[in-house]
Amino acid sequence: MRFAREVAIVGAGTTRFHHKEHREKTSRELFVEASLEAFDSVDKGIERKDIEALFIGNFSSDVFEHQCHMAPLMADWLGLNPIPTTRIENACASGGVALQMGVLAVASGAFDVVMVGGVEKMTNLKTEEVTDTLAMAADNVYEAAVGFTFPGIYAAMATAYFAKYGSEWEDLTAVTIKNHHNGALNPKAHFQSEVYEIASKLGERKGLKFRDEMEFLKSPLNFTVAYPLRLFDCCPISDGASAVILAASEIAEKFTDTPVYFAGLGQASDTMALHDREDLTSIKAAVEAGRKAYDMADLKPKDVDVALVHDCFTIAEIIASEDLGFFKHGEGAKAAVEGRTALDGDKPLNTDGGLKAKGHPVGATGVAMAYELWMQLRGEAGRRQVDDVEVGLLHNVGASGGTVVVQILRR
Amino acid sequence: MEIDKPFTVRAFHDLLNEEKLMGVECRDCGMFYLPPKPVCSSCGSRNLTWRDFAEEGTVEAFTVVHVAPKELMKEAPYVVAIVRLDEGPRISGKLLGVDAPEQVEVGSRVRVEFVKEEDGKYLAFRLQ
Repeated sequence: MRFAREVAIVGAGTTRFHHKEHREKTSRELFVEASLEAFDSVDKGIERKDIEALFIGNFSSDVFEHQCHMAPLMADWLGLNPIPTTRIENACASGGVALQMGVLAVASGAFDVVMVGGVEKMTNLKTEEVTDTLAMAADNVYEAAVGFTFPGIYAAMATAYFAKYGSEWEDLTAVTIKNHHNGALNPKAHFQSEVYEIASKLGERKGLKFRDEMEFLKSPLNFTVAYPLRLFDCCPISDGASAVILAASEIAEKFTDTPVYFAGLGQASDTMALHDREDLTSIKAAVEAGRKAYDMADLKPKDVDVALVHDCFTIAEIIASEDLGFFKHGEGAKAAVEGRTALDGDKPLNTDGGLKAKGHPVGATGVAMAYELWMQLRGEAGRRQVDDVEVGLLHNVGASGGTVVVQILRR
Repeated sequence: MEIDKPFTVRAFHDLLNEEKLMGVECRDCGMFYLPPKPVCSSCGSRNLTWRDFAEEGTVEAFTVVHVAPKELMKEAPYVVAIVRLDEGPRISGKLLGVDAPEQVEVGSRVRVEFVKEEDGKYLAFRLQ
């Protein structure tokens, strides 16, 4: 893709992602909260009337809240009517695709300034009902109907990956521990505790003492969700919303002297069902979307300083790190175990805690990734700031890889 | 194979009720699709024909589901496998008679089994 004009982020905001904090709120309040923070974050100020269009990523308020037609509802509650507003649904990539559409809308010249939001309110339903709803992102007829759950599908990728490359479940714990460490440094994260802190707290409650994190992660408290994935391999169920404001780069300085530019965009699709993919241990749509983004940005994997990748499950982060070219296929697990993807590693991944610790209100996630890159690229990420960040990448996956969005942002 | 049914989900399940595992073959490029699809994803042809598949294969991935959706909570833990049928396509299904990871591995050989439920027969697998 080549654009007539570049697009930049000039403001970003997010709610905390959490399962209890937003008990009294619905998606409309969550979206407004994130959007108001985004407005306040614009260095030189912005007015509501500057926003010319709204794109909303939302997976399933339809089921979670019995609410469809989310687009005008979000615009209404933020006082943005009568601008054009669109809701995008690509499962867990809804936010990322909403970002794609927002960027394309501005790059096309149709609009100068747009807002992109992502929101999900998941906690009205019981866990088994949420499990059922999330399974709608899979092939209902040929995957969900035969008993596959979301965790089950990624667990199948894990068994295939272990058989092919000789890795083990213990390797996945490196991702869990790292992401909780990063989440502990992020005031917006769902979990803000290291794994060893959680181990002590839970242990105290049950009258148990754990020698270390691994003993806790191997204990029955970390129960199996879908073998080999256990509770701490899975992202939590969270409520939350994130929002970014996009402007054509030629007018961005009206809003800020430090915008963050979209250097590369990629989006691809693949078969719905995991069993129809070419390779069960790699998400081809991620490789393809990554290739398009790198080509457009004229950059290579080694140029990426920070990446936000879709760790709905620990195995997904490992596969992502390979699909995006950070490590060779089959070496992602080893790289995680060696600490290369930690905040102080040579390829920091999921500096905000990832989906695992930061949370995954489904439609919000892609937009939350853009928020974190905005913070990192402007040096505002506080205790989780990586040094010398010039290039960031976000990787947002729908379901088991039917949709993938990869975007590269730079200063 | 001449079967007077459109290439639909409904037809696939009707054939399973008759204990037939059937998909389609593209007459133009030779690709197989199981379950059936109306258009060849490889060459775009609509010149497809029903084909039945041999009922043996190899496990290429599996999981043991413990946290199940509402309607399957009573069956948990249960095993779901992705099986590569000997003639090429992969398909997902429950692996019967197994409920722990030690009992199965990537590479295990399985046979298709048609399971009778109230609303029809379902495709599942059993270890050979």
